[in-house]
Amino acid sequence: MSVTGVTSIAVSSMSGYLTRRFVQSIIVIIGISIVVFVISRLSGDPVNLMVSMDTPEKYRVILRKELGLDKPIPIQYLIFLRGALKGDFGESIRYGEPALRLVLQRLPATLRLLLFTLFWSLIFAIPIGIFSAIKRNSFFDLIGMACTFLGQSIPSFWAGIMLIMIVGVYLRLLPISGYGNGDFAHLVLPAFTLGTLEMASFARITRSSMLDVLNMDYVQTARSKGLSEFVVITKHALRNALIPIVTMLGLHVAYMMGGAVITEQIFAYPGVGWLAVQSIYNRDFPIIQAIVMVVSIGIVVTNFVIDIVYTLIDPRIRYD
Amino acid sequence: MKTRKVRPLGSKGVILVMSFILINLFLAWGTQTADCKTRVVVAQGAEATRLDPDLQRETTTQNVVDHIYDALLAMGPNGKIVPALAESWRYLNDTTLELKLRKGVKFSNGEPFNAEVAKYNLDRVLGKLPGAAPTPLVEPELDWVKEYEIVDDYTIQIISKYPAPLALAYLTQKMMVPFQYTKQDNFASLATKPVGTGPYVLKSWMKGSELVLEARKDCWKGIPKIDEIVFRPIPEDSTRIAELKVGNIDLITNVKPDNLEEVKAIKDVDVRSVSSNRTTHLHINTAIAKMKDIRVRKAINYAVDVESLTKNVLGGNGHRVSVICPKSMVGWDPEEKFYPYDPEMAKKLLAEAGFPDGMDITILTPRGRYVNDVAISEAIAGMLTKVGIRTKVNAVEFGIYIDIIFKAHEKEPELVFISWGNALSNTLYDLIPGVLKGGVFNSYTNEKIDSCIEKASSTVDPKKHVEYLRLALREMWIDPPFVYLYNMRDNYGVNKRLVWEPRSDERIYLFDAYVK
Repeated sequence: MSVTGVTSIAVSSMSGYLTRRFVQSIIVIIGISIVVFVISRLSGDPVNLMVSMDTPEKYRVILRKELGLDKPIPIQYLIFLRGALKGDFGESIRYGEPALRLVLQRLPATLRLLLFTLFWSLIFAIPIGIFSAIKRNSFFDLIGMACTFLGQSIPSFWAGIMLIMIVGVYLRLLPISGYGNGDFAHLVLPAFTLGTLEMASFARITRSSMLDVLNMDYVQTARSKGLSEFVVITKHALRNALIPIVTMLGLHVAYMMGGAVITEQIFAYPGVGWLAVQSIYNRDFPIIQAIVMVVSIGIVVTNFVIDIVYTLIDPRIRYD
Repeated sequence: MKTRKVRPLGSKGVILVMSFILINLFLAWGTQTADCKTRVVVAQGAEATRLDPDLQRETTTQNVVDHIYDALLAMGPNGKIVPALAESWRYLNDTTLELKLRKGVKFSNGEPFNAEVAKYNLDRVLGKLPGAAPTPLVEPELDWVKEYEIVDDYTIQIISKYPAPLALAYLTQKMMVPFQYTKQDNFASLATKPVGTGPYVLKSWMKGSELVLEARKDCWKGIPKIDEIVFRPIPEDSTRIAELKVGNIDLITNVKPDNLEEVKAIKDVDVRSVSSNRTTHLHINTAIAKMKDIRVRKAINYAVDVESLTKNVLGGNGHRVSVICPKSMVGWDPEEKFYPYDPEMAKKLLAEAGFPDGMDITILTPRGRYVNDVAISEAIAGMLTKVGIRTKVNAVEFGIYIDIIFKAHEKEPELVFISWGNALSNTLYDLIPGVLKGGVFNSYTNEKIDSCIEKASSTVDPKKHVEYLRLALREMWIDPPFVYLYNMRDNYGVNKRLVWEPRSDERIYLFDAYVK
């Protein structure tokens, strides 16, 4: 049977599941929007942060009205929801521009950062994990695991500052902060900072899941068939060890988004994470909402993709 | 084994996707263009928001706006008011100010500036322009304006509701925007594509990354010596300093006391300091009964060792202020008196006020908004606790701090950490909201002080004005509504090639600056 034929069967048997997931995701996103909407509004008044302290209440009232903050929170939410359905998240309180536009302007920078971080951390993590598993308790394993332990425990703000000092200031190899023209050089240090934790986590999960698989009977069978060790490891062991790694990947996209908040601040990297922090300090509600929506949709979609990838890695998995 | 064939993209696919990502990433490895233009890079903690001067009031944005626009008058570096778009001014009587406008001034889009445009600007801010959105951030600054009249093309008269001594200072803050350009889209473009009469125009603006200003060749002020000014937002202190070290940035703001030595040690970099208008004090919440007693308020002033705070907590980066007016501002009293540090006196006053066993109070302080704010509050709490005023510190994020101040005025806290900047360089600007009865930020009444403030705020005679301010300050020393502390020393890290001096009002203006 042709490859396309198999895929179409897999997709059709999955469609029911996907529809269910889609509906669930919508409910989750609406739930998130309510929580964020209420919490941000309870956390403070953006008007008091905008005006100088001596501004009479009269002008604060005008400003609140201008920003639509004078209405009760449930009404404000309905107005927000009506706009959001049309892709309008309102105007930023500080910038006076459409909030969604500001977020989308910064999204490519963050996506580049996340993608490159994922790329380099997996490139290192998977081989390290595999070798540590094969040469279990060897010197390599010991060093490898010590490094990943370190990688998991170093706070990223400290790692970032150290990288700036050593690579940026002392060695002068790479630019320290900013985005430049969107060039690669400006991406290296932030991605490295963000990726240390990811790399360490992926290396550890690869190691432990490889260890599980390597003891399985079918691996022994493959060996006894006379297959080369390379084929045994990559084709038989790794393929089966991938499931937990892919699961982690899904979770870590969300973690990395959280990490990007700190990393982007340190490197003045103009992404969504930095914008989020700034907007929270300024109580710029429309931007906060737009970011939360965009990021949660991103995470939901990622998890969708991961679900599909499962079926591709392990055809036994069926969503019925 | 048909299912075997369905692999995750297939290994070729993976390689293809990966290499696509890589190529995309490598596409442009940092290419710096070298040209012979003088270019100065300034790093602030936050980025500019809207470049429409009437829709924002943030120092970080104002520093950009100041280079693009001009006001009728300007605030000189020493707090003295100097001509700008108005060449000269005079009072025809106590409430009529006549301004003679400069001739031949053009906006960067070629539009002329004249009395008609000045009137249009005042109309906008005072809400007299049909269809234009209100400007509640700037309108209160021109609250004193009653009406204005165009006398001829280059003369305008502004009539105030009462003799307004801060009128000239407020006029330095109202930047003039063009007529035709803003009329066509009801001011919409101004925030991102500013057009002003100032010495620079916006060249490019990558949000979050950098904002580039380019010198104009046809500005009434002449051609600036610096061809391009780049503003970059860098929130993290250590990153700003690192950029200064490698020479990518010429000027950084807010060098904290803890980082001073590090910045001083950088080759080719100076720390340039200035005594700032920003004055720190603790507001005493007299809405709480026990704080009404003058003896309690005096006791707290006696119990705080300000010299020790500025020396030990600020590393010498603060100057003690007798009341709330530092030397750089109008109203400063050369005969100022300071509360001596006298814990015994404090205990005695407390006992007299009926608190022989002391009392329990709270200081509300923002966390990380002002230099060493929490450390200062904690040090003060320690000093107060020593004399029996058992003090807790409630340190919160700035947004929450502001909300507590405006909502929970009557209850806690007894003391509030305040650090006020003063763009007008005049202490009256602080006295009206902070001390005068009915002020937005005031819970205290003293008729003598109120009468001095009222007199000071209703005379346009500069001599009398200062006289009344000093009287008010002297009375405030006797009956203190605040715990008097210090004004900051602002520190900037500056590359030695840049000839520029910092100002007391936290503004960065590079028109007169040049590169060696």
